[in-house]
Amino acid sequence: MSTLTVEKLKKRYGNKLVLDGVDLEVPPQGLTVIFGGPGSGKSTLLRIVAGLEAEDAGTVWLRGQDVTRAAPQDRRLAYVPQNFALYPQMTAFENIAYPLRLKRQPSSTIAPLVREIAQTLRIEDVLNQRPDQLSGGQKQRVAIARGLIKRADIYLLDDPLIGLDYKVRERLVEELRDLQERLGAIFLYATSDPLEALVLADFIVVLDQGRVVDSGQPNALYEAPRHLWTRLNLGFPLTNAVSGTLTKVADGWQVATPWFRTAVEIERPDDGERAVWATFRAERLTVDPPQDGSLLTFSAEIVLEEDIGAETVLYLVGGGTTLYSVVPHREGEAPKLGTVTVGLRPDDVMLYDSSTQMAMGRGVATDGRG
Amino acid sequence: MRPKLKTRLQQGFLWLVAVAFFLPVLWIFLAAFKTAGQILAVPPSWIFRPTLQGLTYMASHQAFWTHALNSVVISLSAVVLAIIVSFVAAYSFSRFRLRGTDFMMFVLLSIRMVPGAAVVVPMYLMYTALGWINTYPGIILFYTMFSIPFSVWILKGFIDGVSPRFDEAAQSDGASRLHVMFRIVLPQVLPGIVAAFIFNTIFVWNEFLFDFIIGGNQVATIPVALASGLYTSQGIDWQYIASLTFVYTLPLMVVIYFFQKYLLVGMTFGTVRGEV
Repeated sequence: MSTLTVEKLKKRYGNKLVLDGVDLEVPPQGLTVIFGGPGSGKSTLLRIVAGLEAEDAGTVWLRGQDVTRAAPQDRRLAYVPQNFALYPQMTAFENIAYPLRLKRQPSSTIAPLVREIAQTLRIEDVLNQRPDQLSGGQKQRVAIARGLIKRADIYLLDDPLIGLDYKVRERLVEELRDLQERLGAIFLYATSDPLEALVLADFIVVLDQGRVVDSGQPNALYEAPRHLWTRLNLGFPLTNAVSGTLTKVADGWQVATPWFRTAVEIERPDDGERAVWATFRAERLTVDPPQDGSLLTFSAEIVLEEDIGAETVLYLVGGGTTLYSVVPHREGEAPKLGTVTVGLRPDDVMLYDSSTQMAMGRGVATDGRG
Repeated sequence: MRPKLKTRLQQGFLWLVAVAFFLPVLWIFLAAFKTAGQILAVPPSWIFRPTLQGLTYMASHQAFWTHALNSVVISLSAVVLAIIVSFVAAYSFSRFRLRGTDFMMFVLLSIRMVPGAAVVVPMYLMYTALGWINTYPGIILFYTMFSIPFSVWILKGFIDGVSPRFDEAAQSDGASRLHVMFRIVLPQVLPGIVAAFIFNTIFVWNEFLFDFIIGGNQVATIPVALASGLYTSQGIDWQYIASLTFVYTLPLMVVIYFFQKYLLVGMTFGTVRGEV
C-alpha cells in the first residue's frame, strides 16, 4: 500500500454528490497533481485527507494506517489551504513559525528554519510584517512557507497559486518544484490550471464530477487521455471536439464528421454504429498545408484571428461548428480572413464514446477524403 | 433660512437637551465638593470653594470600603466568568451549527428580555432553598448567569465573522480545538470581548434589585448602599450620598468615554466591527 491511499471515498453536500467513490493511490514519491475543474471535488478530497472534512463513506490510509476518524492534528500532514488563512494577529514570521511552536520546538531552532524557508520563497524582507501589510503573492508565499516548514512526509497543497498574477505563479511553480525535489516528500497538489498541472506533475489524477476519470504521467495523459474531459481540458491551446458517427465498413471502422471522414482503429470493436466525439488538438490543425496525401484536408472559413503573443489562434467555421487552430505568430502580417484549406493527420484524431465519454480508438494514418 | 444658521440652531437645541439631562449629574458631582451646608442652599451655589470634606467624610465610613470592594469584586468576577463561559458557548454555536442552534440563540436572548421583577421571587425562593442568600458565590453566579445570554449574542456575531478556515489551518498545523479557540480565534474577536465586558460591567455595576433581594449586608454593593444609607438619624445624609454617587459614577463614565466605540459594536452585535 502507498503512503497515501483513499478507498471508495464518498461525500455529499445536500443533494450534490461531490465525491463519488474516489479510489486513489498516490505514488510513493514525487508531485502528484489532482487536476479538475471547479466543483470537481478536488478541494473536498484534500480536505478529507487532511481531516478537515468528514467523509460519508470510504477510508483514508496514511502510512499504512486507517486514519479516517483521526483528528487533523494527529495525521502529521502539512496542508496549504486555497485561501491564505494567515493569522492576522501574528507577523509573517510568527505565522510561519506557528506549526513548530505547537511542536514546542525551542526558539533557537525555529528562527533559522523560518529564515531558511523565507529565503527560499523570497519573503525574508517581510517577516516582521502582519498579513494586512502583505501583497497577495507575499501572503500566499507565507502560507506555503507555513505549510512546508513542518517537515512532514506528505504535503497537501490546495490550489495554492489561485488568483495570483501570471509572473508570480510562474516563479512559485518553479520554487515549489525545487522544494519538492529537495524535500523528497510526497506532494499532493490540487489545481484547475492545466498548465500548472503539466509543468508541476510527476503524476496527474483527473477528477470530474467527483470521480477519478484519468490518471497517468503528464505526457501520456496529454497525448492519449482515457476520458473526454481530460482530452478537452488538460492542455492549452484548446482541443477541438466534433460530433460524428462511427460505422463499420468493409475493411474496418470509419468515423464520419461534418468536416471529414476517416478510417479508425477501435480498441474494443463491437458491431454497433454509435455517436462519437472526434477530437484533435488545435496545434495539430494546419492551415494551407503543403500537398501531402496522408493528411485529411477540408475547407473552412477563418472568421477571427486572435493574437496571443508567440502564437495566433484561428477560429474556423464550417459544417455548423467552430474549430480552433493555433499557428505561429506571423510578424507584421495582416489577418487572413476567408476560406482556406485545413489539414489534419488522421492519427491525431482521437475518438470518444458520446455516452460513456471514454476513449475508443484513434484515426489510422491513411489518405484523407475531404 | 440659511443652511448654516439652521445647522447652528439644531446644534444649539441638541446642546440644550444634553445640558438639561446632565444638570442633575452635574449638581450631584458639584455637591461632592461642597460642605454639608452648601449642598442644599437655595438658590444653589454654582460658584464655591471646592472642598474634599465630603469625600474624606465618606472615606471615614468603614461601610463605604466594604460596599466599594463588593461592587468591584462582584462586578469583575461575574463579568470575567460570564465572558469565559460565553466565549466557549458562542464558539460552539458558531462553529458546530447543531440542530436547534437558532432556536437556542432566540431563547438565550429572550431570557435577557425578561424583566427582573418577574424572576425576583422565584430566584429568592431558589436561593433561600440553596442557602445562597447573602453569599459571594451566590450573587456572583447570579450576575454571571444574567450576563451570559447577551455576551453569547455579541460574541457569536464576532466569531461568525472569523473564517473557519483559520481554525482548519491551525488544526492542520497541529493545534487542538482549545488552542484554536483561545490562541487563534480569541485574539481576532477582542473588540467583541471588550464590548461584552463593558456592557456587562455597566449592567452589574448598576444593578440594584437582585443585590437588594438575594444579597445582604455582606455582599451589598454601592447601589444598595446608596438606597440604604439615604436616611440617618439626622435625616438624609446628602454629603455622603453626593460623595458616594461621585465615586460610584466616575469610573464608569471614564470607561465609557474611552471605550464608547465598543458600545456601538456591542449594540449592533458586531455587525459594525469595522468601526473599531
